[in-house]
Amino acid sequence: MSQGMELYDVKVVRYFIVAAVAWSIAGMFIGVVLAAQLYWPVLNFDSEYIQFGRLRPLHTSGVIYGFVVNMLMGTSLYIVQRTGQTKLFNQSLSWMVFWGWQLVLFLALVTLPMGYTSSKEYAELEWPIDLLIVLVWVLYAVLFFGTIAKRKVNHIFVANWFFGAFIIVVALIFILNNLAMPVSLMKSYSVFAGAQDAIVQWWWGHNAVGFLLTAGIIGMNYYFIPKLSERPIYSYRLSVIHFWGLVGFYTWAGTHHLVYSSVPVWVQNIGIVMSLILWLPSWAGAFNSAMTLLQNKEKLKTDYIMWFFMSAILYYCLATFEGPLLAIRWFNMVAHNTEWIIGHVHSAALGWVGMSGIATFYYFIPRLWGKTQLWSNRMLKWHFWLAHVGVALYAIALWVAGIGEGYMWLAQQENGSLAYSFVEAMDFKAPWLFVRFFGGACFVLGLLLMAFNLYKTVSQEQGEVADAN
Amino acid sequence: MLTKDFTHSVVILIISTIVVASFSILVLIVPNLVRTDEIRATSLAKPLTALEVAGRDIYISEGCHVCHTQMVRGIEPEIKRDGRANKEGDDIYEFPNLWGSKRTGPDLTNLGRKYSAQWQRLHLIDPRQVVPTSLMPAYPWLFKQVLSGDDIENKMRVLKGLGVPYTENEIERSRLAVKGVTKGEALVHYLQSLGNDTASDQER
Repeated sequence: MSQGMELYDVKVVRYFIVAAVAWSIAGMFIGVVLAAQLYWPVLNFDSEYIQFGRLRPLHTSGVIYGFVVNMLMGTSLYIVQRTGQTKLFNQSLSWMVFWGWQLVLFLALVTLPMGYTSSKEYAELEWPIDLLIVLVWVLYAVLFFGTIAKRKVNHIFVANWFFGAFIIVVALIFILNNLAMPVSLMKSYSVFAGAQDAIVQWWWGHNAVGFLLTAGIIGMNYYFIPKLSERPIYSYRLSVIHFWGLVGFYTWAGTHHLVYSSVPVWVQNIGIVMSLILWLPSWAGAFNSAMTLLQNKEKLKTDYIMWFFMSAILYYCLATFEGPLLAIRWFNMVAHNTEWIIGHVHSAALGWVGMSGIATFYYFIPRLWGKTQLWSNRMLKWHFWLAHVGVALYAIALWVAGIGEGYMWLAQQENGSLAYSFVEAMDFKAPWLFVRFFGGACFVLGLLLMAFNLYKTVSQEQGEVADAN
Repeated sequence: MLTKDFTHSVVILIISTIVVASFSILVLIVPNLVRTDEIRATSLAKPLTALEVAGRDIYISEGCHVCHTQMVRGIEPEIKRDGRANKEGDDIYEFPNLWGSKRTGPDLTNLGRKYSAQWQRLHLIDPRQVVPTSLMPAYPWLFKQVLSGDDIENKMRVLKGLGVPYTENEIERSRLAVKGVTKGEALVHYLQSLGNDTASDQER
């Protein structure tokens, strides 16, 4: 019954998902290059365009805007159709969103290595591209909420609440953070200065994590996990608590990036307290997703896609445990500005976001092209272990490097003088930066296996799936 | 409509999400944004010169803030290592802030009081000449590319509009100050300015 396909707009979803796979590999490959540059500085090649300072924002933008946003746009547009039993609100709008977003990514790919940057972390693009982002985002919001409005089902499915919050809050925080006065076509100055700018910057910086990398991914998982495990969501009530917990508390937490800085202490304290409170809805949500998977223990024994989702949930627990911990003053004193923070971000980005994405790709892509099974399950297993070895090495290496350098920066002799020079701390962590590079490379190798496997899957001749879900 | 909730009405879903997510703007963001005068009252900061503004933009363009922070925290070992801790008023002319988030290299808040301009030049051209195990990329091209100064008046005017007290005279002379200088020299001028305006406020 390939009719299932024709009831919904699927083509634009396929395009988004292919773009997401391509950017996941490109963005993370650049990450591996950066990791290598930190061990072998000669790999900067004395080149203006590929030196660390310019490649780094391309890595973060490629992963966040390329991999994650393409994936969330694609899956959200599919899920909103399926759960509302209706086609997209407007088909040409969906293509404008797709090509508009690819234009944003292309401009990022060109302008960031050329040194056009606003310097605001995770929002480095200059003002004309920011305007394009806002325009595309508004069209996306109209398309998404328009499709919800014309749904044929009374109830708005859980996944769509999270996608809705992701679309709305990202718009709010993106616009406020990027308010700038243009100087020329590719140069502007933030309208906020110093401490005020930092508060706005981290309000954005942490909520990009909260709503792009968390709420959006949760939305995606609340659809795919029940589908995959063939069981309903474990607790509806928990998902309501999860939702309002995130929406209500997440936007407060960003100022934990400014602990011990020169911003007012009460602003720092709000960030600390709210980060601790966030622990509850996060783990409630994780419990809910884990129980949804565990309801089908038979399938969990054999299905590596289930294992990927389970691992993603465990990494979510780890990262949302570690986050509030790092916000506490004492831990923050040691960890702030060290490799530990990079390790924390990556155990979430590779473990939670990456593995959710991988599981979604493996489950979704064959079905999106009407195929019944993967080309190679053996390759899927290899990917599973490569990804896990990769994240584990990455996280362990940066725990050691970060905690080590954090202590070395703080350590004082009995007479009060500093025990270590900055260079000594750098030399201490050098071997661990190599381990990090190796872990990251394992993760990207796994992605390449996935891309090959999925390519073979969709291009091979085989029976079509009964229903494209 | 009032009998519905966010799981049954897209309008209620949108409005309730905006309202709940926006409390932090009211409590956290707005009160801090309106404190400008209060912060200025205690500030020792001095505006950057035209050449230093040009240098700061090169610092931004090369992504120096990706690896170097400009925020010495009020913790004893940090102050011993990097000099006087930042105060809220120090950064009132910093559009945008360059506090950074990762210390791959040392903190630069008070860098201007540490090394000579010649050291900075050598270090930028080949960091491993002065620090053998340094991870920093080399920036030799900065000393080959020359600034035209075409955009500096615009930059100064925009900064003045945002609240930096530049005089008309300073803005008019800015192009002459910048034109023909290499990017590297401008960057060194900026680096050498860091922390000098607050030098009189050293912790005793």
